Amino acid sequence: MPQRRAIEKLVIALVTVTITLIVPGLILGRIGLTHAGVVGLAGLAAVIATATLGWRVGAATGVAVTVGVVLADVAAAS
Amino acid sequence: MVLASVLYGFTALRGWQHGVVLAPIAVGFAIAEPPTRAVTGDRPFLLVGLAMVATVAFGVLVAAALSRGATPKPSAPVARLRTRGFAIMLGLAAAITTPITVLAGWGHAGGWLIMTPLLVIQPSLHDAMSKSLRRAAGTIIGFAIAFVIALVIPQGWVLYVIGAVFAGFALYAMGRRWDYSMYAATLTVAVVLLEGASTSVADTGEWRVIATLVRVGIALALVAALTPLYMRVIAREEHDARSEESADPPTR
Repeated sequence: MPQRRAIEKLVIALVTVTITLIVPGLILGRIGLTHAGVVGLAGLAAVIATATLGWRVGAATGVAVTVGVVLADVAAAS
Repeated sequence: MVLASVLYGFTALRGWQHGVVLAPIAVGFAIAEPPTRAVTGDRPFLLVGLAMVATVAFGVLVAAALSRGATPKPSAPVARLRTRGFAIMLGLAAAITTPITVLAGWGHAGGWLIMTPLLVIQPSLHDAMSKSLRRAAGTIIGFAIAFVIALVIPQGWVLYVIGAVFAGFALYAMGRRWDYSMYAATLTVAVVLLEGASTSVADTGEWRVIATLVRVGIALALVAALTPLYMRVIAREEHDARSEESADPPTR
């Protein structure tokens, strides 16, 4: 039983991460936006925070990383 | 970046540092190589913001649904003084690595320079040393695996999918608390394949190995330079603990 649970968790981790990494890349590539890796990484940050610390911390991490990346982008442009 | 690193450092007060480490790393990569729109060359803040919100919301919803019923597993909370030392060390590391990256225009490779201290520096001095060595070993093993995969499989979307699968393995290795070198190896395979799929896996991997060894060296030098601060913090913690014990003797 523990083995089956471990395999289930592995499959879940693989599917979630694959989708979180690939989908933004496909969408951003279509609209001509470069560097989809940062967006994928932010999504992955939210996934890991949610999986290990619960959805509240995951959502807070997501908001923080979104604000941080946009501010960094604005600062780089100014 | 300094602010993001310091704020991340203070999450150790609640034992959240391992769960949220990718957040400052994402900010570091955005600073190293801000997103641009390939067609017009401008900086599309709104598009980036919308894409981030959609991706993050998707990630939180899926992960929350999949881990429903599971108990959150934060690390043990770190004492206030030690957390302060940890946050200062991270802030100093960012104050050194970020200007180097931006002024030298290293782009994405500079993101790796910003990233390593965030992964290697730990609230405990012993953990930082051990983690640095494991990371270096894992990176070399990961590069070897990625290189063999790239030799067997031609470039393209297959490499991208394999890279994403290895990212999943890295997440699993972290969740199962496997040896850190295992996590570093799977993460390296993922990054090298994802980064190198559109260009050259060999070049990306080679640069990553060299850059990681240099970065681990910088992180260790920082840890060594700040050792006196840590020793003072530990001595003060021990003194406080002794004072509490003597003020509150155990009842029998």
